[in-house]
Amino acid sequence: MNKMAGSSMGEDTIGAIQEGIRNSAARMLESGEIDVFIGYEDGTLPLRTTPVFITCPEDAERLVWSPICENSLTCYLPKFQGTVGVVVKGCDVRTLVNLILENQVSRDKVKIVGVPCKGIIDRDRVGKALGTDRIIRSAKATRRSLMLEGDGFEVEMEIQDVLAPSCEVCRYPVPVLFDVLVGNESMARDGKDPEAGYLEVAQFAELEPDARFSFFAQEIERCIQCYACRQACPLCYCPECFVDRQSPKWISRWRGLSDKILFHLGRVLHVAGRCVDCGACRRACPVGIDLRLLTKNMEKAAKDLFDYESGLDIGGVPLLATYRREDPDDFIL
Amino acid sequence: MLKMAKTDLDAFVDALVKASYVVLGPIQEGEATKFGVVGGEEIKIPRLTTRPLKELFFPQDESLLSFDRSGTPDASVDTSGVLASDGISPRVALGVRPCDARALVLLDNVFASDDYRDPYYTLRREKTVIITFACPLPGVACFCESTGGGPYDETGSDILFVEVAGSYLVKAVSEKGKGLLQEVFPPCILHEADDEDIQAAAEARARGELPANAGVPIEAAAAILGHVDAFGDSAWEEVYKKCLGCAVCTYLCPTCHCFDIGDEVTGASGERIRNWDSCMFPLFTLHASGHNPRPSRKERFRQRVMHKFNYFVENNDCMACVGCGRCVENCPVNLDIRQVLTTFARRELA
Repeated sequence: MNKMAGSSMGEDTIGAIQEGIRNSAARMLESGEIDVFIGYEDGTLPLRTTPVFITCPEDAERLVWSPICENSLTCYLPKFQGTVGVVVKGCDVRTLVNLILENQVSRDKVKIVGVPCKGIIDRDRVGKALGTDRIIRSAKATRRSLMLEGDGFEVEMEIQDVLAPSCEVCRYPVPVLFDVLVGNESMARDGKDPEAGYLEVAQFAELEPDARFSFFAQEIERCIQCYACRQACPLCYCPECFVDRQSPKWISRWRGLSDKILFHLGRVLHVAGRCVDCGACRRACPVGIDLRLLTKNMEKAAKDLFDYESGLDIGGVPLLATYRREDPDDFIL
Repeated sequence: MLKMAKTDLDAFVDALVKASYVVLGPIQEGEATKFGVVGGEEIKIPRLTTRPLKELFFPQDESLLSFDRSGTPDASVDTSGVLASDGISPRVALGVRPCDARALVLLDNVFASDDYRDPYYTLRREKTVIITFACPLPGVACFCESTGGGPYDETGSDILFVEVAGSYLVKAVSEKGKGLLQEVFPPCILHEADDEDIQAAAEARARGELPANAGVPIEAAAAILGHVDAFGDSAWEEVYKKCLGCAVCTYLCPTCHCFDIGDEVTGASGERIRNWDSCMFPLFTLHASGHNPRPSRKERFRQRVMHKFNYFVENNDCMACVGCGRCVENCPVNLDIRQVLTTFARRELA
């Protein structure tokens, strides 16, 4: 099985970050500061890495870093006992800030290894750029480009051209909170203006209600209710999701466009003012539903109505836990 | 052996439609592909559909019966209407890959066995002719040959298409397949293949059946999983860890077949619904008492692996996996069943 070899990236910034992660993990495990370190290791497919749980310092060599480290590892934190070290990108740490603020993770039980992020490759975009049904047998990423090899082809792509949609509009590529920052801030991409990220939802909002509904109906109809979006989301940690309740039974699993919509709207309202647009839900969806259009809209609402951006301030109060007399309420009444 | 120009595929579908068959083939739905009604538009055969073939026979949700209690003390129950509404027309599923076709034979053990015949599943099975397209280019997640199948495997197929230089060689595998070809096709589309074509197909087959995706030690893993100590083996502690607990692997699996049944009632009438369920969900085994015998993802993940490679084998003498690789490719965290099986194949249990 060919895959992107983490260790063969030469002396570029990716290699330096990878070294930094390995050294930090080994040091923290050796000193006994942490019980387990959560990072990425090489996956079994091209363009994939996979989460790994390291407990011995010697195994820190397995850790890799590259623009295909797509998973949000903070989703593992709420159920962990003991002290954990974790690799975070700019988006991931904002989910962690929220987990700490919401008392799901104790700040003193987590050692944060921050990575200045250049953005993550979107596999769907790579596939589209390449053309369907051309099978990638191996992939290799450097800081700027992605080399793909398959049966009878070799293609080089600019990483800029195949970035995940959420990375393209990322406002905080440098982690806002960390115990260790591997590399330095100049290794990250530049943060974007928030308006850039809201362009798509703003345009969508201009459509007629019927057009918006039919677009969503078409998207949501395809949902197979596997709940990968919920499971991959670092902020969906409810011990029992409302859709899993039997008494009362909130949703049916029968031909239910309205039931599917209820789940997605319920979820998106539940992450309102909390979602940081890490893109985990969109990536996890096996049928490619564009869930970000919903979550981004809530993010925009939090910004427009309350001038609130989620996951930035460890000393702050979650948006939905505050009330000010001057808060706008015309959207409710 | 017959032969057809690749460019005649749409004409082939038209001929089926004209003969009153419902033709089901790969269709695009957003960014995913699945089996749906085709005809009229150009058909594209993807390497493998995102969603599995099984849903043509065992849909994600279906009504088993309807009932009405208004006016009578006892419910009046109607199953015939439900059965009539689906699967009565003769159907052809086309563009199927060998792994998906083989999966149907495994599902037959569950839904069409001597002990139990599920009328909904078996009716659809009986009414459907399976036309499989041999796999010229297995993907990076494929491991069909490790499970006893292969890119040219005919198991579960009624007709096999093998692509050779701009043509399909068409082989009737079953009597059902032979019957369809005789019934429907005018000789202007289908011709007799000559020796050269048959030779070319054999060569393509020899090239395609490289042991590239045969390297997963499934037999060895199944032997270990059959050991009395396998259930409590400490290896489970490690292999499940990154599992997110979603149902991508089970819902996209062509052989996973667990379901739930419940009533959807409005007023005095309603329907009894069967829908897919997943052993990855906590609700799957939650008792009414609140007790859950599979309390964490570890037990749930173990169940999935044990069911496929041990319990199913004990019950049916075959494993419930065809190596299509959908679970490998679509797992959000790249939890690869091939690695899990390799881990167990290397375990030594006393």
